[in-house]
Amino acid sequence: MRPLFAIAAVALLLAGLAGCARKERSERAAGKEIEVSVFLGGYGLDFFQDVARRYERTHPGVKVNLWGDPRNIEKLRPRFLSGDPPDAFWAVLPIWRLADGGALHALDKELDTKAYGQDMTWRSSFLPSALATALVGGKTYFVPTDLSVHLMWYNVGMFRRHGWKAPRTWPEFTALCERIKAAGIAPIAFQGRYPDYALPILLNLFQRQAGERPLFAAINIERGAWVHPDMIKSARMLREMMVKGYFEPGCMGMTHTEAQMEFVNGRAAMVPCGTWLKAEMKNTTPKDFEMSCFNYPAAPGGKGDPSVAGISLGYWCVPAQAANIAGGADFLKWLTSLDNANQFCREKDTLFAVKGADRYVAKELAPAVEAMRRAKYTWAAMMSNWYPELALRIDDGLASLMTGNITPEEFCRRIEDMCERIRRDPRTPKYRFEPPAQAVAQGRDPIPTPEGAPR
Amino acid sequence: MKRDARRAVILFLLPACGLYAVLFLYPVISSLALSLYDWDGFTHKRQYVGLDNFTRLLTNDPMFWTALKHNLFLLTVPTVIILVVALFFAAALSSGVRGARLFRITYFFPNVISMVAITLLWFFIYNPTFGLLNGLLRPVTGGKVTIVWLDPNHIMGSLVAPIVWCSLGFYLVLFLAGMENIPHTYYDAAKVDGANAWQQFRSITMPLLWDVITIGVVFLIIGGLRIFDLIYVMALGYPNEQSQVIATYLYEQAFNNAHMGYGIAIAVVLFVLVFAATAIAMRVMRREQLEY
Repeated sequence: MRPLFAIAAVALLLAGLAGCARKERSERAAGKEIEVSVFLGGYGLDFFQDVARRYERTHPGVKVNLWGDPRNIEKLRPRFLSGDPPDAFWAVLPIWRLADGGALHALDKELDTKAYGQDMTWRSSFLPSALATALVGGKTYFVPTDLSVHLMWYNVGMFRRHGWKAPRTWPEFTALCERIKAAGIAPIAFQGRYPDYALPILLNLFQRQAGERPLFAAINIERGAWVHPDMIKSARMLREMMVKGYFEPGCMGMTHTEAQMEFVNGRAAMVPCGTWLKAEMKNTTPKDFEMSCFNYPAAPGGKGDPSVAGISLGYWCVPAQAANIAGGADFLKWLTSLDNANQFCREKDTLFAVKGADRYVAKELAPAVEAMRRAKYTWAAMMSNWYPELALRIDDGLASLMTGNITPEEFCRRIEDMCERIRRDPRTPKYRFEPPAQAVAQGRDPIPTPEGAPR
Repeated sequence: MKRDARRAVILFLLPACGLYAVLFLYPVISSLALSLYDWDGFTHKRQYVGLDNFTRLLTNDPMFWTALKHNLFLLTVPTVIILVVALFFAAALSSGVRGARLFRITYFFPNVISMVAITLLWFFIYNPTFGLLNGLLRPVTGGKVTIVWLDPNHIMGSLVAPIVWCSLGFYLVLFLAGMENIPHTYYDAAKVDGANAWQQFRSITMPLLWDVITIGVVFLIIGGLRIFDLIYVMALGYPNEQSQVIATYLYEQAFNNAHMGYGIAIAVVLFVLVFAATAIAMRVMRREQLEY
C-alpha cells in the first residue's frame, strides 16, 4: 500500500508542477508576466531587481519574474530545447550562433519605437558603434548594455610621488617603464592566467601603426590580415615588453584578481584592464589608493588615429520562442533607458552603451569617458565573440608568445591559419563588422560628455 | 513450473533492464546518432553531416591531438609514480611497520575530499606570490628563484603532484589488501631458503598481486583518459593548448562553442579510446592464473 501511496504522491506533485508551468506560460503569453534570466556575475542581481520593480510600478498588471544564476546557461539550454525560454536574458552564450540558428528574436521593429523617457527612437538612444556590433545579417538580435573601454590603468599616487606622467607615444611609454623599473617597481601587472587581457594591447598597437582598414580586416578575419607586417611588429613589441621585464615577474601564473591586487597594493605601477577594474577591486582597494587610466599611446609615424579606443560590451536578447516576446523586448527597452543606464553606471562603477549615460560616472572613469568622447571610432574584438574557437586559440597564442615559446612570426601565422580554417569551413557562419559611417564621419561616437557630474 | 520460474526471472529482470535501457543504452545510442549532426545544442535545427565530425576531428583538428598528447602524459607519468610508490608503501606497511593503521588512514584521506577542493588546495600551493612551494624555494635559493608553476611552460608537470597525492591512498589500500591475502607461509618458506626482502617481493608478492596490479593499471588508464575536473579547475575554466585534455576539449566544443554535435563526436572517440586502452592493458598484463 505504501509504495502505491508514494507513487500517487509523486504523480500528483509532477502534475501540479506541470500545471504551474502551463499557468505561468499562459500568463506570459497574455502579457501579464515577463520572465527574465540574468547572468549572476560581478554586477549582482540587485540593480536588475530594482529595474524590474520599477517596471512593475509603471506597468500595472505586469509582473516581472526575474531570476539570476552564475550558470544560467545550464538552465537556459533545456528551456530553449523544450521551446519555453524566458522572455529576455543575459547569459554568457555564443549568441551569434543562436541568432543564426533562429533562436533569437530580431529587435529591429521594437528598436524603431520611441525610447523610454527620451524624445528619440530606442535605436537612436544607443551609441551607434556599440549597436553596430549587435548586427547579424543586417538585423539586430541583441542590445548592448554595459560597456567597457580597454585602457592602461596607473597608480596616481605613485606617479605623483615619482613625477611620472601618462605617456602619449610608445617611446614615452617604454621610457616610463624603464624609469619605473629603475625605481625598483614592476612597471605592469598582468593577468597572465587570462592572456586575452593582452589582446587590447596587441590590437591597439596594431591599429596605431597600421590604421583603421587593417584593424577591421583583422577583426573580420580577412585573408592575410593576421600576418600583416604591422601585426608581426606589434606582436614583437608585446613580446619585448615581457623580455625587457616591463611585466611583473610571475605574472603568467596570476589570475586577474591576483594581478590587480599587485596593482592596488602598489607592487606594480600599471595594469591593462577594462573600465570594470574599479568595481571589480572595490572590496580590496586600500582607501587611500587613487587610480586613473590612459588610452594606449600613439606609434610615431603610424597610420592609425591615436584617439581610437577598444571596447567590449554585454548583450541582452529576446528568444524567438519566448511566450511574451513583446514584454521581453519592452523590458529591455526599459532596462536600457537613460535613467536606468545612469543608475547602473552610478551603482556599478562602469559605463553603459547608451548616449549620455555619464551623469554619475566615477571620477576614476572620467579619463575613460574622455577617451570615448575623443575616439574617432571604437572597435571591439568581435572575432572572439563570433568564433569562440578562434578566441581560445588567440589566448593560447598570446600565452605562448609572451612566454617565448613561439616567435611573433609564428604567433601571427598560427592565428592566420586558424582564420583560414574558419574561412574555409562551410559549417561556420561568417560575420562582418564595420564601425557606423556616422560615427567615423562625426569624428567621434556621440557619447558621454566629459562635463558629466563626477561623484 | 519451469515455465513459471522463467517468467518470474523475466519479470524480476524487467525493471533493471528497463532502467539500464533508459539510463544507459538510450543515451549511448542517441549520442552516437547525434555525433553525426552539426548541432548547436540550443535549437532543433540540426544538419546531418555523416562522419564529417569524426573526419574533422581526426584529420583537421590539431587541438585534439594536443589534448590526446596531454592525456597520454597524464596517463603514463602519474601511473608509473603511483604504481611504484603505492607498491613500496604497501609492502612497507604490510611488513608490520609501527602505526601502519594510522599511515593507511592518512594516505587514504585525500580520497574522501572532492577533486575540486583538492585542486583549489593545490592552486594555492602553486600560487606564484604567496604559494607554499615558492615560499619554501625562496629561503633556499636566497629569494632568487620563483617558479610560475601554473604558467604554460609548467602546468602539465604541476598537475602530476596533485594527481599522485590524491590517488596514492586508494592504490595503496588496494595493493595492501591484496598483499594481506597472500599466505605468510610462502614468505616463511622463502626466508628458510635464504631469500632477501627484494627477492621475496619479486618472486612472491608481485606474481600473486599481479591481478590486483592489473586492476589498478586499468583504473589509472581510465582515470588518465577521462580526467576533467582537476584540469578544468586548475585552468580556471579555460584550459589552453598547454593544459587541454580530451574531456575539457569536449566540454569546450559542446558547451562553450555551441558545437554540440562535434563535442559528442569527441565523446564517442574518447569512449573508443578508453575501451581500446583498457582492452590492450588487460591483454598485455594477462598472466597465467595463480591459485593459492
